[in-house]
Amino acid sequence: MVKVVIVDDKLKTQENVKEVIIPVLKKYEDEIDIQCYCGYNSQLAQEIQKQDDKKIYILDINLESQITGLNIALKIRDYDWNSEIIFLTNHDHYLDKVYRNVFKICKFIEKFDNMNYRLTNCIEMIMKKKFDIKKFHFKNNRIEINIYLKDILYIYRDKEDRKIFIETDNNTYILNKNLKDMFELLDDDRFKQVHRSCIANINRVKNYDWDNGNFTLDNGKTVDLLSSGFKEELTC
Amino acid sequence: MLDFIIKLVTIIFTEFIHILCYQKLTGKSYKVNIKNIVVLTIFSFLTLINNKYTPVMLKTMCSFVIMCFIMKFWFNLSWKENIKKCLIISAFSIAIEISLLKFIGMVFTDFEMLNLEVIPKVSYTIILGCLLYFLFSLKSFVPMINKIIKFNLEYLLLFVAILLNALLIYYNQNYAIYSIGINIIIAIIVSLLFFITLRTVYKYRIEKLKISDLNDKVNQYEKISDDYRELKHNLNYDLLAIRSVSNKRGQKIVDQVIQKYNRNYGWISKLENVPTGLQGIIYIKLRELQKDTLCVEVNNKVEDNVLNNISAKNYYQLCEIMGNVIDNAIQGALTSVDQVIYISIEEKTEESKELLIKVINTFSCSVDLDEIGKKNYSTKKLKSGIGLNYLNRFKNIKIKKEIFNNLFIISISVPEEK
Repeated sequence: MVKVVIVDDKLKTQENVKEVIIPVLKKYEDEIDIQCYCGYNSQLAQEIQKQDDKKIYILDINLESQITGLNIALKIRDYDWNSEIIFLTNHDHYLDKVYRNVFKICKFIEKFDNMNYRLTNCIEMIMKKKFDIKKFHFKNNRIEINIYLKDILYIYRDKEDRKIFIETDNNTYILNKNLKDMFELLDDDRFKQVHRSCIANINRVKNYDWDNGNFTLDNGKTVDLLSSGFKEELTC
Repeated sequence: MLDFIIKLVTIIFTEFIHILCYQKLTGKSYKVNIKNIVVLTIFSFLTLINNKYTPVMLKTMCSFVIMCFIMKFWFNLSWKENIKKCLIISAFSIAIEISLLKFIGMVFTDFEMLNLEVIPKVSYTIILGCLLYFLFSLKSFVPMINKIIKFNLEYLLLFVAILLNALLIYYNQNYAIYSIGINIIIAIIVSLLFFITLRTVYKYRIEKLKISDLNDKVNQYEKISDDYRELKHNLNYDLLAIRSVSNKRGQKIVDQVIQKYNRNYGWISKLENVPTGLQGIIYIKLRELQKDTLCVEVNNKVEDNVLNNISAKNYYQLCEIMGNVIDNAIQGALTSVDQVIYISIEEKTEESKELLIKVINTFSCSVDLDEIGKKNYSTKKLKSGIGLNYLNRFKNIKIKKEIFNNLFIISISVPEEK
């Protein structure tokens, strides 16, 4: 089941949004639960605290109260980093960069700029991602880290440093562990061993070059850690 | 059986009084749920057994240990804090008990018989509990005690508690010569108060000198920056005069010199324009960022006066922390493509009032999760490596570091005083 929470002070906009998103959602899910609120109230607060697996928030930034859509987004992220948030706005993209990055806002959609088409595309994009929210979690007495598994490209063990390197789209995280420990921590079928010292996220691998011993990721990067000894296991 | 129940209920009452006193002392709230009630009942039962079977010399010590365990379950503070608070409650409880016994000794000659009867003993315990609660409810009492704690006098407290315990045992067995014990107590209390006063006055004097020195330095800086502004102003005119009589080559050189000496530091040359304290630090950091490509958003949801609810020491440390954290956030954000920093300041009132500040920045680099926060470790090119390790020294302020995907999040939590 997918749950959609629409927060807009105009009933007409709520109805319009519902009309746009229902046909898109029905393509991917049989059960849809749509809830509408005119502003932040105790029921919305309770709803925010519920940790549902598949949830989309569509928020109007300008609400007729002190608590704006942005404030509601901050409250959502106090409890829940997994839900998708879409903003409907009359403003320009000034807030776009900060909130998109910091609060994982899926999209800012201007109400007067082809809203229906853009909202449809956005919902399609969210549903195609299939709410892949599984994370790699690690904690020590200095820091706590959570990385979406979908963002991990590959993991390898460096012979010289004798440490694990986790490569993601933007960063490299280094850990004092071994590959066997990493398999246990990741606990997901998308991670397969492709080399004695490398685990790859097969969902992010575009091409395997078994002859040359490398694989190419979907971001274009080529990694020279592919061993034909693991070909059979991978192709099964 | 009835005696047993009465005694158990009385002990539960006494321990609950201790809980209320503990709550007054810490300002922390407690939950009255089934688990805590069961814990209270079990430990009260243990106290009853302790009162009946433990040797006299160890009785008070065992009661103290039981009280520590009860408070740990109810309030869940660290053991060090817990023992400190229990010591304070025990010390004052024993002091009141000795005073009450003196009063009773004046009224009842056959004191031993009083001790054997259930109803008088229960009444005495209830009166003792009420007096203790009344003392901790006094407005100025808890702040005075907190001042003692700040001076780390817990070892002195421990000594006083042991001494009072010994006096109580001595007094119980030889109540006819109680005046010696009372005199000793008074002497200790007076010495303690004298010591505290001396230390407070000394510290106040030192702080006053420091502030006066700081004010002098600020005045000197403002004077120097005024002189500099005047000098720069005159220099510009002189350079322009030279330019007017120079050839083309000379004019180019003069233009370069004018540019060199006209970097825009105007916004900081007048310190009075810069907001004070925490806001000043954020203001200065953000003004410096204007020339960079960083995207910064500050979401301040608190009134200015909320910072008055934080103790002076914590506020000073918070300013230090924020300067450090924002510097780190800037360095981190500059490594990323999006270059975003978000600062949020809000007040949390759920369990206890506290100021919660979050600094979130994007970053893109290599991070060793086992080394981060250690001295001499840095992800920066220049390898300064002091920043995050520096945060480990602040004990009163909770600092939490997290990485969520490509975001580095530092959460700072400062307790507010009532």
